[in-house]
Amino acid sequence: MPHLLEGRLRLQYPNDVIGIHFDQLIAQQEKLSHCMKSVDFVLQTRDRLIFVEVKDFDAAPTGHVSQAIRDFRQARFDQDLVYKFRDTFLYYWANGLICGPTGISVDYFVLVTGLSSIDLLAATDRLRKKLPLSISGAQRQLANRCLVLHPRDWNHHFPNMPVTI
Amino acid sequence: MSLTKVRLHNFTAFRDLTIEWGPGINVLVGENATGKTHILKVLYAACDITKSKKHFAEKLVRVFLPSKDIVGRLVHRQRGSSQCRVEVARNANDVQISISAAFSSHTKSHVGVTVKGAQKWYAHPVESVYIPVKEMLANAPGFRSLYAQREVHFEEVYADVVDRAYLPLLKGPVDQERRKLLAELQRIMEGRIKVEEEEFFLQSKQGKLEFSLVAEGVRKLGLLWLLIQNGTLLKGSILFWDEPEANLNPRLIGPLMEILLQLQRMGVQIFLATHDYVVLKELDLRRQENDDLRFHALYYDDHGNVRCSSTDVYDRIHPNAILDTFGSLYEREIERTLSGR
Repeated sequence: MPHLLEGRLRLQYPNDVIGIHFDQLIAQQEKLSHCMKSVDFVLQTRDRLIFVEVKDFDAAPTGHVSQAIRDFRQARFDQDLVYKFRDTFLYYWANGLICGPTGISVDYFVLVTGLSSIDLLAATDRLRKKLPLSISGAQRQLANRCLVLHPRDWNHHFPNMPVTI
Repeated sequence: MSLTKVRLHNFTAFRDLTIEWGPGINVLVGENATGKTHILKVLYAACDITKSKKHFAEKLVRVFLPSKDIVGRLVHRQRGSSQCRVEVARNANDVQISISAAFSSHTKSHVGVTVKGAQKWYAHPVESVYIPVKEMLANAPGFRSLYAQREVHFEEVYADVVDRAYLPLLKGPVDQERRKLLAELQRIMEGRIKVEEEEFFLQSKQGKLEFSLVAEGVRKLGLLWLLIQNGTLLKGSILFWDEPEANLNPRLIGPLMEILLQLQRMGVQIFLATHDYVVLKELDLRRQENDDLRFHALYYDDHGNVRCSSTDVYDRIHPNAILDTFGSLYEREIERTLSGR
């Protein structure tokens, strides 16, 4: 089973899914990191693009964990998460994959360790509001599904694309 | 002068429960009907009698209001006759003292109640105040005279808190610590409290606003302001606050918890009953190394008895009904999003 690696987090996916380490693609192949933000992974299935960003706070060096978590709780990561989504969305839009109302749908998932369900729930609400998910009068949603969730919960709902840490 | 322990045997919701208190802030959490308010009332009754010199059981009746004032109705309901015992312990000048009241389900009035330890208990008076869920200052002028003259069916905590709010200022200058807290409360309320002919007003830049026109949450902050200003809440005093979050904008809870932590640092022992995540988390995030903060989680065991699990560490509150509810919300949010509903 092919897989993607970000730090100690490993995401496996089936052969019929295209998996891209997107931030490496932007930085190393496209050489666009000076002007574009990017999510960590993009998984392309038959009918959707799944953007995945990883925030593995449990892996942060001792002493940095609590500060990173505090920053996350205080919404200091929010804008970065929004720009990562928008620039990745723009990249695929420019490539013609998500053009028009019939274009492939987009999901955005942020996999986070070290936070409680309350933090994840609040972060989900904030992120959806800030993306935003949809624009009134628009023909399609910017993101169909958006969640900030723990890898454990990802595994529960995506058993064919398991995450291991 | 801090309370150290309560033991409740066959009293209201409790078959047999003992809780040891910390000298700082004690936070009671638990689902509805686990008896958080009952515990606060027992403790308050025990404290109040040191000043009012009332009989312990009489005060229990006045704060619980059992039907027809029958004290025996406070005994845990079960088949046949049963005995109940309520015991509260505290530290008075480094000596442990306690008061207890024992009675049966057939006991009609406080005359039939056996009280032990009263003499030493009354010898060490302690200032205490109980802030109930419902704010009363807006109705204070009429309520106070009505309560004094008529048999009105109101738990005595309401009359008591109004009396405390009306207390005149202490003699002497207000110390630096209290002045700081008063200033902080004034900042949050955007004004200060004035009392004129027994009526409360919020004096702000916009003018003088009668309490009935002020938001209930702000009125509660106003009550705290009065209690600090008139010296009810000083070192050695005890504050009981049932659901401090009630009617309060979540943004105000952080500053309020900061004030409670500061009161605790000044030597006020505090008991809170809460259903609110923000209250818990603000206390946890704002606590400093030397702060004394203790969480008491009340829950029903498999036999239907109320139990308590106490911890100093926020992450170890268990069971935590508030956190469990958020966990359930989070799970349902994932479920809804991923099922495409």
